[in-house]
Amino acid sequence: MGEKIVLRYTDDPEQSDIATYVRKGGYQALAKALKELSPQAVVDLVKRSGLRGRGGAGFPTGLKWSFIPKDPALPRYLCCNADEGEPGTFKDREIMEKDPHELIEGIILSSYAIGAHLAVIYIRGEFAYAARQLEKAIRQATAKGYLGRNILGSGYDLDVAVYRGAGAYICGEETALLESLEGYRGQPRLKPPFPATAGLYRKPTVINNVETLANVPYIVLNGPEAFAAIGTSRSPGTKVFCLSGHVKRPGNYELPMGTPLREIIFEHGGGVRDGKQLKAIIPGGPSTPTFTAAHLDVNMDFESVAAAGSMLGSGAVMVMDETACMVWAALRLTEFFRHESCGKCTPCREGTYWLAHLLGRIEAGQGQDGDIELLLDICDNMAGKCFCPFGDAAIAPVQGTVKHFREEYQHHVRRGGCWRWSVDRGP
Amino acid sequence: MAAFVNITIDDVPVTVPPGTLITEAARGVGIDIPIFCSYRKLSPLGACRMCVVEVGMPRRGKDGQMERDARGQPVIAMMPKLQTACTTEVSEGMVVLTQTPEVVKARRGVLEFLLVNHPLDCPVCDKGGECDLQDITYKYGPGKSRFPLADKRHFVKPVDLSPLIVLDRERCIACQRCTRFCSEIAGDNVLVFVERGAETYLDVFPGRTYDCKFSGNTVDICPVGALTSRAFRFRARAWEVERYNGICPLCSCGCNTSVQVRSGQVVRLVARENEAVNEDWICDKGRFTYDYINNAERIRTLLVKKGGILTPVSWDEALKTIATGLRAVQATNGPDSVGGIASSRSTNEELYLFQKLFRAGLGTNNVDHRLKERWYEDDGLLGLPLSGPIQGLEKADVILVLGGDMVQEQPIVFLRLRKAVVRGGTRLVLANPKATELDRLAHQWLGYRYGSEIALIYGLINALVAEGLCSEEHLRERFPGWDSLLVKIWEHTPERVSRATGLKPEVLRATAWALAGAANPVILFGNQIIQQANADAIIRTLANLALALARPERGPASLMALGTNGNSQGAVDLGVLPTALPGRRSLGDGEYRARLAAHWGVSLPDRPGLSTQKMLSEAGSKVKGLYLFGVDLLSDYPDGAKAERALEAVDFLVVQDLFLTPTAARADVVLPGTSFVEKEGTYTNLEGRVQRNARGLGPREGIMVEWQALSTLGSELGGDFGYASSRKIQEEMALVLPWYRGLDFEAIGLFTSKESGENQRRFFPGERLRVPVEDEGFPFILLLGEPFYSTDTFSSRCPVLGPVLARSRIEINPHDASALGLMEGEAVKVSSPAGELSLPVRHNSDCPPGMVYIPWRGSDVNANRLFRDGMEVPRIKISKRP
Repeated sequence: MGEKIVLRYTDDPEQSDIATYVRKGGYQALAKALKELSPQAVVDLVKRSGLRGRGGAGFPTGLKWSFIPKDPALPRYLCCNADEGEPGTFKDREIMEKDPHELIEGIILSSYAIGAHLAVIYIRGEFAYAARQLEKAIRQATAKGYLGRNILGSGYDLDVAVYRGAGAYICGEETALLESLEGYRGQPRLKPPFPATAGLYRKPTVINNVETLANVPYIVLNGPEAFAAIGTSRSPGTKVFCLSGHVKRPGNYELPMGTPLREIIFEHGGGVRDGKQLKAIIPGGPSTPTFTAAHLDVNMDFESVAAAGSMLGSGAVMVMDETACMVWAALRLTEFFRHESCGKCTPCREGTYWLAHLLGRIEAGQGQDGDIELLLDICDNMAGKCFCPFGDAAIAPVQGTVKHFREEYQHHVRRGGCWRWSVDRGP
Repeated sequence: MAAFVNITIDDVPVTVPPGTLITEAARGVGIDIPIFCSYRKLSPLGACRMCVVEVGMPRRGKDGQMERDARGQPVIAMMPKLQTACTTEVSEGMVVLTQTPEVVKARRGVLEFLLVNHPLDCPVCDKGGECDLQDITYKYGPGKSRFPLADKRHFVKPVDLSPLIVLDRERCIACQRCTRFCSEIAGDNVLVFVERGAETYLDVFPGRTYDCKFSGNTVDICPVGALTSRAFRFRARAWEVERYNGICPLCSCGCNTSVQVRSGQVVRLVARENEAVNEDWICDKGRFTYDYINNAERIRTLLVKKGGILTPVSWDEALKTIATGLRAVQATNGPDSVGGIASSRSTNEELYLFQKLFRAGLGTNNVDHRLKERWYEDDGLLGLPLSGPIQGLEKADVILVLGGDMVQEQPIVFLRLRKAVVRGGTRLVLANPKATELDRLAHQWLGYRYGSEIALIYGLINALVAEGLCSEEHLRERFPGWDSLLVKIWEHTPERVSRATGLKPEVLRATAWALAGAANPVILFGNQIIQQANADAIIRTLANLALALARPERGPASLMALGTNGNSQGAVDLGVLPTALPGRRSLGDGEYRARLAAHWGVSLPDRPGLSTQKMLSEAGSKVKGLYLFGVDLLSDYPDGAKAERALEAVDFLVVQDLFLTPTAARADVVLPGTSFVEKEGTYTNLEGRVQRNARGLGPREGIMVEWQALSTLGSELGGDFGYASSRKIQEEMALVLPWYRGLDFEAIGLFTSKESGENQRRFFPGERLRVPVEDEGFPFILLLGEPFYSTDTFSSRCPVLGPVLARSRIEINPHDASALGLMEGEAVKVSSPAGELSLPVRHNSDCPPGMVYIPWRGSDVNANRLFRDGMEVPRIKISKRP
């Protein structure tokens, strides 16, 4: 296993305490930056490191920061997106619960880089423990002078606030997050204007994922070259893969970008449990099209996964073995999207409702001839026509499973039920 | 930035200003792009996805130049996804395609999605026939849905959002027009969506009630039948109604409405767009006050009192009775023993004829329209326009509102003011004795003591001068009277006036700075000024303030009256005043009077007439005959006891009204009146804009509309009143009256010409400052006001308004209430020197300590029992009931 960055010390139960964090070299990056580097220099370091957003879209972080207007008179904010709601994704939670100072230091460095004096962590409401850990870390950091007025004597001020969401997946979408933060209904905003020009309270705002920000101290301390040496040339650094499903050892694995799926599942995850055959893999969370065993040699970096027809997404690798019914899996995921659709735009609001309804019918053995085509047509009517990326995400499980496992759908329709009922009543 | 942008839509070249949305550009060239959530008065949303189109941009090389193909045409790079036309702004060289297979399929897809959960109840839906979803589905949609009918999601329905608005949640397509109207236009944020996804539904914000004054507009803009009007529900289908262009006669805003009639009944009023006046909106009072027109209790016959009983007679007999009755009174008591009072909700034509009837027909100037209004007591204000364009509020950078509860009294002008403040950044300075709903928009709020207006304005002018904020040289040179005004105001420093006004000196100074810093200041004043005993003095002082703000580079500040009734402005313009001739000229202007007399072919009386107030005081002595034209004196005159006495005292009383009001019941002759829907006519709004109202209903058989009755009566009295149509009256007005000269009544919404040039403006001499009388016996100052849903002849006869009409009450500061031990809702005895009433108490911290508020006409008690003519600032005492 190569070098770890964000999960390096998370196995230490004392790591969340500031004394332990500082003893292991924490806040040195901050001290270095405030003493030696201008904000622009920090931006340049991150640009040169090639760090890309770990929330799913993989947008270059340094480039995002550079969109913030240079006029220092304009207030600007940093938002940390900790609304980790994608099913099968649990990487940010581990960082926040076990090494909160790493995130706080990343936030301070990033805020310094863009000139923000207020940073807000928008955390998923269910993460009560993580929120408490962060609040404790903020108190400790403030007491030690890493936060608040005149940080480490540099004259730079920053406050960090923790805001707990109220339980909507859509608030992980950055503009819906901003709406929610401002006290409105969590629904995505029209873009443009982009958050970099009109974000929180219509002021320039950078929104970064927890894992992204947690990488920043390493880059500042060890230099962009050390970071870029890990992973692939276009997707440098490590990635936390959240391995779940029918594997022997599920969990978070921080591995270099570009690690092959086979290595993640079989080497680190110990392979498929109970000696069963691997059937399907969701490579980056439910919003990413499904892979099959044929895709095991895909390298897990942004470019390779995209070339193979899916997305790296949040890095939630969900493994299904031969006992899983793909129609059932698609229904389960579609139910999630139906439940979480914010209702703002028509295709998503009604499309997810319809898809869930139709899949439920097929799964229950009530499907009719033409239902599979209807499923695909509904997906087509949603594809690219929804207000935000949620709509495209919601059709991915359906499109992916129909593409690779159409015969299972046909079995449901023709035989009036799941193949498992007749062949194998198993788990 | 370029002034114009060139794009092509479906190969049609379009040139539009930058910032235009594709939907607007397409509409301009007649290309239809279907929309649901988009509404031009609301911010773009992009939610319904109905308007998706293909958009391409010219490809540009590294040097920024457009790439061109072999034929020199720009190379167009089409965007990979369809774009929403309602949110995409045009840019140079853009190519928009609205008819490609992708667009057609996407439209069908969106419509099919919308119909997944939309009920198929068009045959019983009020919106059927004028429903965007229905129309667009016919035009662009699939004929058949693939979603099983039985699996639609359901909601409990219908839901009463308010007594006026009913919601069907199943029909809602979540376009957010109504919620955006609430947050962006009305500013009340009451309607919200709750829940998510397909379970999303509209609701009233938890803990609030939907008592917005503009709620009916959400029904107008709802693209489906989700929001419906309680009054219109199931009363007519959209294709059955005939539509007429009406003008709302209730307040002086003059909103444009569409009057919709089915089988001889008015079934609804909806807003009719007029960007200059009401934009797309009307208030709920205007929208829902129409059922009185259909009321079965309308007077349908002519009634003459015979042996003490009102008995039906013919038109001929009734008019002859009036003519002989009035002539008989005059024969024994002289020409000035008769008088007329006309409603300021009458049309211009009626008002013109009414005063002509009295001046030319009966030879007296005893004619008036004022009931509660106390302005225009003399001819001093006639030369002052006191009006300005409503749209001008958007251009103002500072607006001062003095003595008016705009939200209650001028709701649609309030919307414009709100737009100016919220969107345009206009500074709002409010000066009111009582807190109002407008306060939360105000940048500065001056809660002055009721009755101290002149002191307040003097303090302001003094502060302007003392802080060196006036262009004194310019004022001295340009407008006569500046120096004598200076003498008058010099001692009224902000410190000195603070005892009278209750305002801190620095508040007045800050206001002076705000006004002086304005490039385009506007001063508005409301009913609390107009209805005060010394209204004229306050208005003259305000005019002085407006003039003192004049600069060499611009004129004085605009001064606008937020007048009371639908045609108050017309009534003043047309001389329904005892001291003014039609055309806003003084009665004392002999030359003008002679010209008018020549036009009318009679000699005109030069003796000043009696105001309403004086006619009633002199009733029985000097005045023996009264003609009340659409006026319910007993209910609407502020001094109820005096009105009562006057009606007892007169020998001959004629009343023309829609209903047998308490006043009409006392009459010797009753003529049936008609509503604005039943006659053609014009109204002049507070801007001085003359607007045409079309006839939507014929009056009932055998009924003359007012102008016909007045003409016939005039002829009966021997005058020249042979008008063949109301058009003829308009022609005469345009010929005779300088303010209406040359006005083409066919054209809608033209301004009266303002011939008073700014050059002639001068400062009015200073006013006497009144010292408020402290009266131990009556410790509370009484503020009387018109609530939005006030009870009157019309509103009390509209059943749908029943639950919302303002309740009678006395509002009192909670501290005062607890000092007196008054519980909320407790009935107390309220007495003034004029009389006493029993009213329930309502605690309201909007009232300052020492002042109480009572609505003039609540749902069951008329406060005119508490008021007596001659009271400057009415005072009351409150006693607990035994």
